[in-house]
Amino acid sequence: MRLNVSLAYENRWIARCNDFTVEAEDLEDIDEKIRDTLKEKGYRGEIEIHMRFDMESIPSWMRQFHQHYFCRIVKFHLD
Amino acid sequence: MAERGIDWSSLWKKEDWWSLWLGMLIFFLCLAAAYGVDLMGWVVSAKVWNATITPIGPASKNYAYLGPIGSLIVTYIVLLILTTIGAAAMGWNVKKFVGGFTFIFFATYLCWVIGHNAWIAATKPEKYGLPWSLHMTGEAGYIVALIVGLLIGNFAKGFAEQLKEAAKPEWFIKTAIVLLGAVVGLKAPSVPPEILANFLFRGLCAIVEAYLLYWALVYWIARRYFGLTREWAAPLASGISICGVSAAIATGGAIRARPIVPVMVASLVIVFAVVELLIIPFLAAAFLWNQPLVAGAWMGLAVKTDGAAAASGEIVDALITGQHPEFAPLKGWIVNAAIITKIFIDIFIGVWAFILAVIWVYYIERKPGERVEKLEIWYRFPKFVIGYFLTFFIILMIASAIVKGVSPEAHKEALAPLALAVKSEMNNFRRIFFALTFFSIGLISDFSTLRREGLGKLALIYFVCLFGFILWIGLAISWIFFADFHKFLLQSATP
Repeated sequence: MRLNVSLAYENRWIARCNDFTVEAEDLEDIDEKIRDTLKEKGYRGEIEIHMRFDMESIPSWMRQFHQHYFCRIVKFHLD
Repeated sequence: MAERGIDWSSLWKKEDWWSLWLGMLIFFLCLAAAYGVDLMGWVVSAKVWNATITPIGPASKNYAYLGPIGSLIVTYIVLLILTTIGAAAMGWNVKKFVGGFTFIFFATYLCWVIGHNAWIAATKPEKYGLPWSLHMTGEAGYIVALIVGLLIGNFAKGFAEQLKEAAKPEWFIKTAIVLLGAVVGLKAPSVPPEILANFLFRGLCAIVEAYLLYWALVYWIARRYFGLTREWAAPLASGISICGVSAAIATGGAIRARPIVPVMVASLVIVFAVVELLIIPFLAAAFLWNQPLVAGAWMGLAVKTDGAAAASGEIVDALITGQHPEFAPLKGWIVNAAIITKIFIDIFIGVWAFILAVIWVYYIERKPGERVEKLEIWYRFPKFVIGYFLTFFIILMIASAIVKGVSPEAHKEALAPLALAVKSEMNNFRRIFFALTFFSIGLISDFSTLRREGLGKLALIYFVCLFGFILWIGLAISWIFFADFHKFLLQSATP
């Protein structure tokens, strides 16, 4: 299963999708929190999380220079 | 929870795509003139002037009835409509954009006209009844625009803030570069294909060399002597050594840095790029005038940000061809050397960021379950480059077809309708976008940034690396790949 998540940074990383919002100091913790949240919500099996950085977190004057920050793909196996 | 597919909205929500659309639209509308339908001849054009010569007027005689003010107003209205459509599609504040663009357009054009005054611009002052002139050509208007922009950006900050919605140097310069492809394409039929291929290959080699040397050196210095963490050292190395702001953002993203890191690096890059723009082109014109393409390529390799690099190339082109008539046939080729190296740098950023992301994710941070998408290379690919090569090849093919079977002496006459479309119309739009770039760069460059807390160490590293070795390695690489290359182009240009 594939899940799309938007990733932002407002003094800490914030991952959002229709089902949840989680926040953490670093990306490793974000991954952990997403995994725990999905488990709580009853997701099971292979889950591929597609995180796309929300460019709104970059100041508008800077976006004209480069309009993509990063995408991450993280795979979980939830039993 | 929707599955993620291709995000088609990028096509109308991102400036990079808009540079392509805007550039290509102007290109095709101007191209109609080559087939007898002059749609864009009203575009305002400036010429060197004195008390007896009117400085502006429409580019084509077909629109002479508009007069100078009419052509200026029509140009403003059409560009305002086109850019406002883009601004609205990209979700900007349209009201602020319209106000900002209006001021920026007229202030820029005023600066452009001032720069065309014969005392400043004339390369043959006697023609204007003057005992001397600065011999700077009309491109001096770019410098005037930059200085006025800088004055507003640094001494009238409240007003500059109001204009910033429309101060988009990257959008303007990328649109100009799309049109530049056509201008170079018109010159290309007289150059043998192997020389053109050689030109592109040299540009490519030069930037690969630069990446390998610059980046590693800056990263090592930042880590070894200034104790920066990897998170800071990598974006800083890219920002200083490769392509300024876009490279800092791409690298920050590649190593999953907090966005504050590229933001801080970017604010430094912009200020230093203006300093470079004010110094390096004049150094190049003074000391490298007999190696014009080395001077041009050096601008592409040394000056950061697309806007400042292209702007530097344009100044060097104007100064060398204006002050040394023997190099006049190289007009356009010098700025093109800067653009080609910069374009390859821009293309390569995506590849470089991908390599860094792979190293970071798989070997340094080793986050379990994470992988890097190859599609990142495409996300970071500069889309305006497609436009540059498209306009270049379209004009090259049309011009080659026109001159096929025509004697070299009759080329000029055969190409006259195409020249009207490209040299008079597209090139005038290109110059307007270049001038808007200069003014906008000035407007967004705030030197008080250097006083911001936490930037001191970064600024010191930037200064040491830029003036300590980046400029000089860039010069050496430009020399290795472009020394004496102008001779081939001059031979091709001589019938």
